[in-house]
Amino acid sequence: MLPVISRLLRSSVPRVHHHCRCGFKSIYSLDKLYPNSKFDYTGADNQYREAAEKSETFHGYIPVEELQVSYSRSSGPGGQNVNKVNTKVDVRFDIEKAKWIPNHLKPLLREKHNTRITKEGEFFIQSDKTRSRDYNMADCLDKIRYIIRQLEHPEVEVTPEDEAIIAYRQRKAAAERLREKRDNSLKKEARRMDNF
Amino acid sequence: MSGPKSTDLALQLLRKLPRIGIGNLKPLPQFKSKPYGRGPRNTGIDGGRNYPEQQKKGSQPPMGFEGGSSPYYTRHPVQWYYRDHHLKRQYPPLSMFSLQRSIDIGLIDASSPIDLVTLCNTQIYKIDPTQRHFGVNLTEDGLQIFKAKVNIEVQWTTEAVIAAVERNGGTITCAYFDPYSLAAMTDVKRFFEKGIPIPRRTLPPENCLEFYSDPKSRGYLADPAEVSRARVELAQKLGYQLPDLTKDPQYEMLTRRKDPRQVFYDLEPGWIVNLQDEVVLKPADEEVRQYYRS
Repeated sequence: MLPVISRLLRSSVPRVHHHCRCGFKSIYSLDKLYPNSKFDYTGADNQYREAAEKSETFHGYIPVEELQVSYSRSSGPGGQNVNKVNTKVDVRFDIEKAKWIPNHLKPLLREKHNTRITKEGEFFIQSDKTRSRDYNMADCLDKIRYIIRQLEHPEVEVTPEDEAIIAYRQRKAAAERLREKRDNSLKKEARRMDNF
Repeated sequence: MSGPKSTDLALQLLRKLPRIGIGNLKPLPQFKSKPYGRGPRNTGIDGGRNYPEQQKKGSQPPMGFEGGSSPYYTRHPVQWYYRDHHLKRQYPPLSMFSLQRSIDIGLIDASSPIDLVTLCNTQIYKIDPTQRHFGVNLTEDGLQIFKAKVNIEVQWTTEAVIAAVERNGGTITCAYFDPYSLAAMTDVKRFFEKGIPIPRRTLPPENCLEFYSDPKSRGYLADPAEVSRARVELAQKLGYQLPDLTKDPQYEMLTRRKDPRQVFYDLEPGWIVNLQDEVVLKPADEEVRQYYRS
């Protein structure tokens, strides 16, 4: 009996894999649906790493193996599960050694996020937002990417005209709030029988 | 001067008569069987027994009638929230924990591709296509301890499961199988014993075509380049290193995929597998072969 068929019939017992490739291709095979498209199983890390290191702006690629990741127990409710499972994720990386961050952004990072930087010059971030370790790691990386991207956008300078407009709007909102408060007070007073 | 003797006459007659067969023989009267359907027997509407009048006369009330009280089937009102429940597809779950355990104890061989056929053959996982089960849903339970490197084909899964499989150097695909193909896959021996050709798998229905064409869910109809990109994006999203499969000795096994019309690995639609004679019958007619490729 052909090995392929005996393998189909009962639970797989490890056996020599005879390469009986029938090479069947129907009209819906992937090479007909997407003629010039091929699978790439290399992981593509090298090409992205190089692109990130050469890029003038923040590319977005983070070489995960260069981060120091540690796990601990999360806080918050959850009973036995939260007490036992290490879902909190701490991520550290040395800013000076990080080639994936553009050099002109590094001093900005140190200045603006000095609270996140340790004495050794490591950037530290943590997350216990979700119940899953993988998604807490995703949250840490998302935060890192967001912080660095925000450094690229210059701070919006508020002109004196804008400041005047903002102050006017604040005064107007306060006056409206007080007017409503007064109206409510009058309504309640009108319901009383004091001045009968 | 004697005339022809009776024996001679008989022999002459025999020469002219037709050949004796079952159709022109008749038993002697004493050996005839009694006529059928005559006389009293225990057949008929009451079978010779004493049933009530309604059953004898066929004037019974409709089925479900409870003698006047509200019948069970009208007592409960129809609710809108469960409309079309009888049409919805179901994917009975299989946890990653269960899959890892099966591999560890040797029930599933991780060195060849795993699909629904492999899982049903283990006998620990079963689906019933007649109950609108459309395949296996690989769930996240046991995701943290999953360490096997597999090429697995499922019918439904989530992003976290895809990440767990790819992180360990495996591949995962979501593929649709129609109920006819599922009936063949869930009990392969029974299907082969029927002696009918392996079916041509149909495309997914409209409401799940998008899912099976989506690179994010690793759909079997998705663009290969986009699937490759989605693999890298997921690794960057969840923060793990994506292994280079081209350097893996099992690269060929890990990247094997079925054609969208194919039900079993290595067997084409249209083939008939004869278990008794241990042969595979393939259609010779070109038109038939083209039909199974269309």
